[in-house]
Amino acid sequence: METGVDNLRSDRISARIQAWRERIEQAKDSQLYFYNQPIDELRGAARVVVNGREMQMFASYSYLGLIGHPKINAAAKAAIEQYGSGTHGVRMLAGTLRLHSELEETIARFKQSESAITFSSGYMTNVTAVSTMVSREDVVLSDKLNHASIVDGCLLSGAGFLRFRHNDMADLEFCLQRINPDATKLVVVDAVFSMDGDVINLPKVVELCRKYGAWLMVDEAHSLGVLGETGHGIEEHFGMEDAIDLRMGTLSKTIPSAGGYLAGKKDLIEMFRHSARPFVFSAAITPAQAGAAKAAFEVIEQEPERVATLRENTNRFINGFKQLGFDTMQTSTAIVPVLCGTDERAYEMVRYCQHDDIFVLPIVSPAVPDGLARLRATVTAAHTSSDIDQGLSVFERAGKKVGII
Amino acid sequence: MNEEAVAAIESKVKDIVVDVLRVNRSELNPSTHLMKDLGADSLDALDVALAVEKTFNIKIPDESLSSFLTIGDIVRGISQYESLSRAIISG
Repeated sequence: METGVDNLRSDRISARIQAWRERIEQAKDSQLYFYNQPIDELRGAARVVVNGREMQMFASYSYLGLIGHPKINAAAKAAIEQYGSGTHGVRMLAGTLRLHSELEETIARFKQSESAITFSSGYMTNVTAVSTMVSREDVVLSDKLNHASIVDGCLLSGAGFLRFRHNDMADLEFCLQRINPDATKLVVVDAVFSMDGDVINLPKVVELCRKYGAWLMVDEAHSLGVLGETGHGIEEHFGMEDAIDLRMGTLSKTIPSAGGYLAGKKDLIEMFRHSARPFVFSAAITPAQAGAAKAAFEVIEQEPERVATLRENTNRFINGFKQLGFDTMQTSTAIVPVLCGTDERAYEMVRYCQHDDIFVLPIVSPAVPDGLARLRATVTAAHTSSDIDQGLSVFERAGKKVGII
Repeated sequence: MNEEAVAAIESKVKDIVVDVLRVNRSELNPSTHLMKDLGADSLDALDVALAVEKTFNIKIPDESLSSFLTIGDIVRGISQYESLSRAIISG
């Protein structure tokens, strides 16, 4: 059977395939391709084996170092023993397990919400949330640096779609003023921005939403377990209660499983449970995923020292970069952008770092604006002080070779 | 196309850019780049292109979107559709 790109037709799909093939081959030929590298083995929560070499992991979003936690692994195994590896159907029909209900109750309690619902991917959770809340006659306002899944949800919803400048409250208010006051409005923001690591000005966003009668949804993918004294997220961080209509989060970052959740008032969550197409028509999250996720929420509360360690490590990591002369932009969280400038300089930095056994990855255009290519370094509670210092010394050597510092 | 027609197109393009990107009209000249000078991202550029398509009743091929990034380039792109431009002037 003939397969592959050698048998391309001369149409636009073929042109796209060809363009991607050339781009990927060119990067591989220049030894500047760093994506989709398989990890062969985990050595503790902060080290991995890649291509036969043990590397320090500085690209993980397992912020509290919970991957491989014995209680969480045990819960996943117990869930398989009790329920098997799959479910009998979609959640609405034969796929809901007692374990799903227990997980959702755990999330609701953790997020101080009346109710919660889970989905089989974080991306899907955001697409679902926005496209179920608003439709053609409504307006959705989204921070310009919100995650792609929020953007896709806004586009899919068919609602009027306004993007305000990143964390710019004057621009958000200007956009709110422009909208017909009678229109139904939804404001969507990330709590912590995934490429920049900075925190949304939640008190001001809430004030504006109340002033203009807008609903508020906040994506806590990168703030769950990270922000707040005990890792409960952005409302704990700002000392606010009941500030958010729809709390979204993922089960794949601090929570070492896969999937996403929405938490809020009972009736709102019930609407999702019956009308959200990605919930109604997708497979349930598997027993092992649900068991691991539920145990992870419990571990965060049982081991609050992890949140404190993450905060100390974050300060050490960010201050270390700053003292070396790197530009870490506006971050104050575990996501630390290390500005490189051109895409080429970011690739070069990664090549030097990985050569010295530091696993870190480049973020280049169009994921970030042209000229703002960066490393997206992350630190976790699993790193020791000496891990961080050793890592920083590698970043320093690489930065000097590339001419960034 | 005469200068008056080009100036009319340029004025309408500036209206679109001011509306979509919420920038001051005084910042705009033919060499102003949507991304480099005005901080637009690819979605903003697409919004500008869609508004141009609607206003001038033209279709910009996907492959040409990446060359619709300065005010001058957008005006030149539109000017290629001379008959439409004439309709705008007479309208």
